[in-house]
Amino acid sequence: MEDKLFEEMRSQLGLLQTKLQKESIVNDRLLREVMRTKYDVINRQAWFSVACALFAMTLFVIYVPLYHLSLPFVIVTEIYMLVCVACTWYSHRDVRSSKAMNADMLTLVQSMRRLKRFYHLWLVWVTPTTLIPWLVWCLYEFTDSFEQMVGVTLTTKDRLYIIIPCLVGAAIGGTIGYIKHRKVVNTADEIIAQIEDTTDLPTTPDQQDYDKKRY
Amino acid sequence: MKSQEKEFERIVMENKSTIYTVCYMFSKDQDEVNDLFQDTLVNLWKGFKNFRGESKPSTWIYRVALNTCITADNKKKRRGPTIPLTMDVDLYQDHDAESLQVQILHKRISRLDVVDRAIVLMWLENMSYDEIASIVGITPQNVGVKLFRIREKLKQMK
Repeated sequence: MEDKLFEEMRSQLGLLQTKLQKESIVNDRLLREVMRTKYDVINRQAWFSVACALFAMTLFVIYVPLYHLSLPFVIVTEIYMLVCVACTWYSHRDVRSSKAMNADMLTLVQSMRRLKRFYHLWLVWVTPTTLIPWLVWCLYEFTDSFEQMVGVTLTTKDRLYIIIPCLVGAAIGGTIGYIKHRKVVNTADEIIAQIEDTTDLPTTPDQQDYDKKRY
Repeated sequence: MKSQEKEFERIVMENKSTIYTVCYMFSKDQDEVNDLFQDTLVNLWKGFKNFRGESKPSTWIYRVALNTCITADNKKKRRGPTIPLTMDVDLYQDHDAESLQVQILHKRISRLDVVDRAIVLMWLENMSYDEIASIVGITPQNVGVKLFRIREKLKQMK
């Protein structure tokens, strides 16, 4: 009797497991927990950029008396940094961890696409048109201020001794900036791919092509 | 991180029926199964980073699933405006022959107390006394005694 009872229960359990094996799992909350981790990755990059900008803004205020930089240059630089901070805040306004847990999937995908679009515009348009002229002006300011501090007129060779380290610094900064940019864009791509793999959101062919582009 | 996710997904896929079975046996209705199932998967993900492979994945999964179900809050949680997607099966409402057999099993097991439920489920899945003991936190001898008592209880049930 006992064996029959447990045999029957075992066979019933076997039926249950066979039935469940045929089903697939999509777990909304688990997906959101994973996405929240990725949202944190994106937001950490933004905080890093903001911290660097605030640090640079503070340094420039100190630099004015030390390096005899021109007031217009310092003012333009401070405004430029402020605009960068404001744009970072604006582009990341929809990328909050709490949104990952509460907003619907379509909204999350759209916010990721908006973020990618913003990053693309910043890299392709804003950076070359503003950063390069600023850099040239910066090099001029530093060589000019050096002449004023030392009280001599620099030769071309002397200027190169100032310009080359500045350019090396700019290259390092640019490389770090690009790595951060790619990390954000790649993470946004992962979030979009994860949502699309596990839900049935409609995407147009244009949107699919858009997601495949590398920015 | 992507490889960790893939590995986690693979382990969960291989053991999804075990996880759902445990949640089903500790639930009274479909909403509760879905809640427990989601909670279990979240707890598995959170614990996955610390899982060192010292026990079999199935043993670890059983331990987490049981802990989740046994300590679950029985109040029905109101979720926000999300669409919780889970296994597309309603074992409480389906009326085919297989589902009726499963419901009989559920009725028997749900009358046991939580620890006995856990023990009998694992025993029905052909786990050894040692494995059951390590998950529940008792001795293998105690597992044997408990199984004998569970048999007696089930015999007396109509």
